[in-house]
Amino acid sequence: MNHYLIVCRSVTQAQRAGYLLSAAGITNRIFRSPVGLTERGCSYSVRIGEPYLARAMEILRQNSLQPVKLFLHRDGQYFEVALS
Amino acid sequence: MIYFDAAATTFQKPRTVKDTVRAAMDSMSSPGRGNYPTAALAAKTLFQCRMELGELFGVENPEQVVFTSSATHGLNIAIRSLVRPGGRVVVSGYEHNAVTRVLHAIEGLTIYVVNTPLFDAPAMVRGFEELVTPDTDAVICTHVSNVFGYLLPVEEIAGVCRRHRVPLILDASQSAGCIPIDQRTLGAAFIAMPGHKGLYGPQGTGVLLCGEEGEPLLYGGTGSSSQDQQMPGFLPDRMEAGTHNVPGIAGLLAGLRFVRTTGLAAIRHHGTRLKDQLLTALEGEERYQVFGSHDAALQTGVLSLVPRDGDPETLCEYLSAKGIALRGGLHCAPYAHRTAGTLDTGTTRFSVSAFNRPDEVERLIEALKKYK
Repeated sequence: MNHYLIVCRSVTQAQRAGYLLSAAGITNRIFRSPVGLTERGCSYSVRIGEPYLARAMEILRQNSLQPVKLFLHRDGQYFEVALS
Repeated sequence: MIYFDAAATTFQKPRTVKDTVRAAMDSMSSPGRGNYPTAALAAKTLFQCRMELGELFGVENPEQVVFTSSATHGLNIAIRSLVRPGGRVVVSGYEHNAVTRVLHAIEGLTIYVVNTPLFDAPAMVRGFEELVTPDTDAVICTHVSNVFGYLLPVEEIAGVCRRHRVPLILDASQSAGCIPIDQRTLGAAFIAMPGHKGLYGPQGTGVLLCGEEGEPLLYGGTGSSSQDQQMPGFLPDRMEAGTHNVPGIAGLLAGLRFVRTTGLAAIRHHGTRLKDQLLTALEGEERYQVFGSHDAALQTGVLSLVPRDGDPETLCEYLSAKGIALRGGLHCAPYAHRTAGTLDTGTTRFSVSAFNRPDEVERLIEALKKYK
């Protein structure tokens, strides 16, 4: 199933993102970012279902939470998506 | 033992604090180092603690809540972030060595001290208005004197800082968990507090609320941005190098929940009621000089006294022999004693927690009346 990975700068930021999304009814899961998705090593990501991206990003923006990167997971591969 | 040294550490903790610390040691490892169950539970606990601290202290974002080992640790971070060698700071005359020793270690710093009488809030505000200038590096102010329980007019002092655009560092060591504090309303750059006093957490815990990013005091691993050889440029990681005191923070969360459930107003009222009980009983006693106010807006559940014949340390020894624990001496706050005129003697300090009772105060009063 396709999904998005919202890469966060720290476990705390990922948890905050997860908390905000859960509060808005968006199911999510926090986990360590796969190697190669970040240039700086060691980060956490929040995984959400594909249909929820626009709403999720709007919630994060409203709360001044700026993710590091965003990836779409499709057919077993990650594709970086530009953060607007 | 009857324990009246809560201003040093609240010795009696809620049962949940002890249970939580023990449970954390059995179930939690290090946050930010993995996502296996013990690491994930540790991370969840720390985040929950940041959230609930943020809610209690008016912090907008839980990332601004930094865990420290003590209030002293937090004050060191705050002062080292804002105060430069050769700079200028203004402090109250009631500061603890956790502030003043840090300042004295900064080369060429000019320290202006607002020396105003005990329980005279308007005079203190005027003192800050006279000394704070736009080129002041920082104002550093305790919220409540650890020696005298004097509740300083920090809202007004914060207003002086905002007018001059000077950052405020608040030492909330004696007020956190007792007096309402709102970081956003105060506009404080940093607020430091211990976890082991009014928040009823274990020793070795502390919190720094950050209105600014600041500079790290310790450098090391954070579990983030690991390829960078500089500390991360974001909170809380920037200030939290090394492994967290996870069982301690879990205990702090339990203590914090006790405070929130009991209520700040109830805790404060309980403390001032017990302090007033002692103050009233000693007002007619010629043998003691007592530093108290019946105005609840000016004093918390901390009271100092000096025996006119004898010294405060010997009085504490006498009380200890009767199973009553009070602290004597300078309480690591020579500035406060210099301001109040007790630097040569020190004081005997009475300080209460939510677990003290009126009958315990009565026992202390009886012992003080029999003291020769």
